[in-house]
Amino acid sequence: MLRFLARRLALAVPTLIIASMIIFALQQLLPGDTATALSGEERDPEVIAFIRAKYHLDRSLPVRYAYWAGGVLQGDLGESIRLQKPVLELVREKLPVTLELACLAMLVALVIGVPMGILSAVRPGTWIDGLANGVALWGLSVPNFWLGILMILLFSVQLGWLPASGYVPPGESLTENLRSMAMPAFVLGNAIAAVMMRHTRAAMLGVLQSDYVRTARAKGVPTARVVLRHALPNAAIPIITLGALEFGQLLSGAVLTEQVFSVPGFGKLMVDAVFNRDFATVQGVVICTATTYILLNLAADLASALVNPKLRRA
Amino acid sequence: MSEAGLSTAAEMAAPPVAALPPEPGALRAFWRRFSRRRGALAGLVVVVLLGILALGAAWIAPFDPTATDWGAVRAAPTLTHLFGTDEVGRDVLSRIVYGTRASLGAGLTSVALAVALGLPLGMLAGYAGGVIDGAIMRLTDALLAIPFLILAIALAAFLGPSLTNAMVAIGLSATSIFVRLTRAQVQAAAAEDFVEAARAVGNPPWRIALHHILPNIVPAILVQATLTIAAAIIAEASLSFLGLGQQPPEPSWGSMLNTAKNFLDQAPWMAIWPGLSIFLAVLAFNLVGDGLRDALDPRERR
Amino acid sequence: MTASPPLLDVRDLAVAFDTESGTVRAVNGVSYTLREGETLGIVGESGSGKSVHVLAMLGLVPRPPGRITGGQVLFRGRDPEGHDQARDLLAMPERHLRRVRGAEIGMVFQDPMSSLNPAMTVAAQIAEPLRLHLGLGAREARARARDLLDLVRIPDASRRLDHYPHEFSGGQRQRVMIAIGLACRPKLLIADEATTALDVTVQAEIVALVQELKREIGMAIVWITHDLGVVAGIADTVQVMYAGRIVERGPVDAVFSDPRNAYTLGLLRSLPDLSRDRAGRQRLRQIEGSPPDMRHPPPGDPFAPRNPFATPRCRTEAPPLAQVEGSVPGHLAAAWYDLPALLAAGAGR
Repeated sequence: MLRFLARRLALAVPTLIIASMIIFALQQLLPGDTATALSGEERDPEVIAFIRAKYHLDRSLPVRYAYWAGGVLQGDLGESIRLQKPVLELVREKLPVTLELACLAMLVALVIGVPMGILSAVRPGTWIDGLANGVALWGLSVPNFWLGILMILLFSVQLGWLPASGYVPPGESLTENLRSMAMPAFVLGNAIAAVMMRHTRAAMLGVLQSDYVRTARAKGVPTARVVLRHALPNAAIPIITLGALEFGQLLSGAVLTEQVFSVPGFGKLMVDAVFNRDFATVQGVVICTATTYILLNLAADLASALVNPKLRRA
Repeated sequence: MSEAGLSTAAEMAAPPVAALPPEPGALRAFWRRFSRRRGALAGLVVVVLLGILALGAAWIAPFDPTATDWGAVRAAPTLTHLFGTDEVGRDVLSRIVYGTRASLGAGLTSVALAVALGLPLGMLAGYAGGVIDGAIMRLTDALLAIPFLILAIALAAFLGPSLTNAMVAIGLSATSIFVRLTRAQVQAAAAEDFVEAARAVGNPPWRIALHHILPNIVPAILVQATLTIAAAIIAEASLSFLGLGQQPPEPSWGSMLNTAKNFLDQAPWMAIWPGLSIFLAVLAFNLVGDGLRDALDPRERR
Repeated sequence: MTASPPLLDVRDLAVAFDTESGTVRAVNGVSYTLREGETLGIVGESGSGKSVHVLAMLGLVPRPPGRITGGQVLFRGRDPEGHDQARDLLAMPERHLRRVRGAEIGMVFQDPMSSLNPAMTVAAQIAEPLRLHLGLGAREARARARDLLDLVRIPDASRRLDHYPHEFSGGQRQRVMIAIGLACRPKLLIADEATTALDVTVQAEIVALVQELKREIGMAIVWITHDLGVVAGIADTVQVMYAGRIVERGPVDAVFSDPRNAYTLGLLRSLPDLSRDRAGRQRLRQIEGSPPDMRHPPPGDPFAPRNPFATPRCRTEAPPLAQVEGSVPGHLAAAWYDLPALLAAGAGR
């Protein structure tokens, strides 16, 4: 297992380095003088000079990348010109909010998607399967910001049950926190539930046709036990790995969901930064997202290795 | 036994048969499988209708989509304004009709860009292997590590907000999907007997790639492209919703929703129609994509 | 033959599969009986219905697309009150059938690589039927699982209990499968191509093991295979199937020495015979042609199109399975032609 993880880690490192290069290179897309552009709307000569020095803009691109990457490794994600704060501090402030939202959404996705996928795989071609596929198609096709708006219309404007926007930290009041997160988490989880349902269905369909499931049935094992004890653990590996890949989708979706419900998370930080031409923050958010994503995939590899006895012993 | 061995060798030495020439009945069989799925057919009808709306917007839309009418601000739907009007009195129906252009245009253009970049890169990676493959794959890994929309937002941020830049951003973000798919398909196809045979008789690699492998991977690319168009339409709407796509006053479903969310309690119709349009367009492409996949992939059939 | 009722009495079993391109009639009226302690070898090529009809009688054919279109399968097992009684497996509700499977009828499948659950230890897999059917607790079941590993001659059984299937060799995995099949001491063990995926030497070991276990336990065996050599070594009775029908059946010696159906003859002739000397060596022959399309089976004897001995009647009318004249009782064949006479006349050489 260690060798398997070491290989994964060995792949993750260059991936992260290249991703950071891409993110760094985004600066080059800015029209006109980079320092002036990076200074955002301030146009203050002092700020421009600060940026020119900070990013070593008089040096060549590779050297500038080395300086920048060196800083990132030491936790220096740059300064938010607009908010007069280190980007790292902003990230630290906002990341927990987005992670809470993402985890709740993943929970929603798992609770809806996995049982639905199992049911539709156990009874392919029946009305349950049809219903599950319909729900999945809906989840994949409905834009989540629109779903968010519709839910606000119903639950906040019409019924007044849930707050339309805002965020209460769990430390302050857990119930209020969950009330404020209910709609965002459902909206965000909805699309992932559809994907999880499809992954689960495909994995379970494959496993249910396997010889060892036939063996289990030949042993007289009841259907529910065949599905849950014999088939599901074997389907879990693809479900976990593919589920982890969906975390990227989750972070993308979080940007929109946070915008709709005014949740002060990562996505909101990024969109605000885009409009404030606060490029250091944009870059900081993207690099943190990419790192989170890569780490989550490593975690998924670890989890699937724990599920898979062949890897566990190796 | 020995006879069997000989016949195999004889087949290997024979000139290779052209890679799966389209049989006369193949297209018909494909259509029969595709059209048996009612969802796929319905999706296709919607796609065609949307195409007509986009091309014929100027004749179909009852009003100029950017013409304001201060006498009818946020007017509820009436016979004149079937879908109502927006916050500056523009006809919502006309903006929906014209918005089809932004959505379909962005969907098709960005996916075309992604295929144009991803297909050659994927073929190169899958066919060349070795260092080239490694380099291309690390690059796509890195791109995939940045979630689709986040990358698109970042690109749009640095490129500046506009519909064209949104399309470029979406197209670049989607490229890695096609690189990976093409590479996997090429590797699978390269192991097939007919490719082995083509290689054995001394066909140059580019010829094998173009004449023997490419035709075999087209179905998979087509399916993925259709499904990616659906995702790209959502992405364009998302960027426009965030204000990073189509700029006002030009209409786009996403930006219409962005405005609408400020008037939810007074003018809910402003939020209903654009969202429904996005949903229908995405659903239609998803249905067509699923239908294509089932019709093209014999393993999926039961 | 004893007067006691048979252990298994299959009557006119028919199975069909609904596919996109039409209904495949996989099994078309199969009838036979099996005595307690008897070993029956069922032979045929893939698609002959030999495996499908067995899976169907145990409710293991996926439905849809599979469908049992007729027949009865009377199995003399314990009824819920514990009395021996012949009951129709096909008419049983799934929850009753489940108690027959794994308890009174054990199964061993073809590919030991894929037939064991890769995510469960062998102890868990062997213990499962014991706990389900015999109600054993975790400890007892584990102890029995260990004994069963001993029984199938896996060395160092207590240490291997917690191993996963991938940690065993192919032959050992098949031994584990047999341990699972025999866990509840079934009256009948069905082995479906149990040695096909194994190396020749391992095949011989598994066959020898099953023969020993039969002596120890005394269960009846249905051994499904396409390998006549294995049948010759293990079975009392052999039954040849083609296109979903039984074409010949009888005591192994009688059928092998005096085949009356052309398909049986074809199978026997395709067998390399190492015992014959050089001079008398027969050429190894394959049966020409391919099995019929079971969506549109030909009228008459389905083997007729491939049969060099076929008579005009073969092409129009299906022959019944009937006692062979001039052979031992119980030697049945379905043929309109008189094979020994034709062979004596020099046909089909």
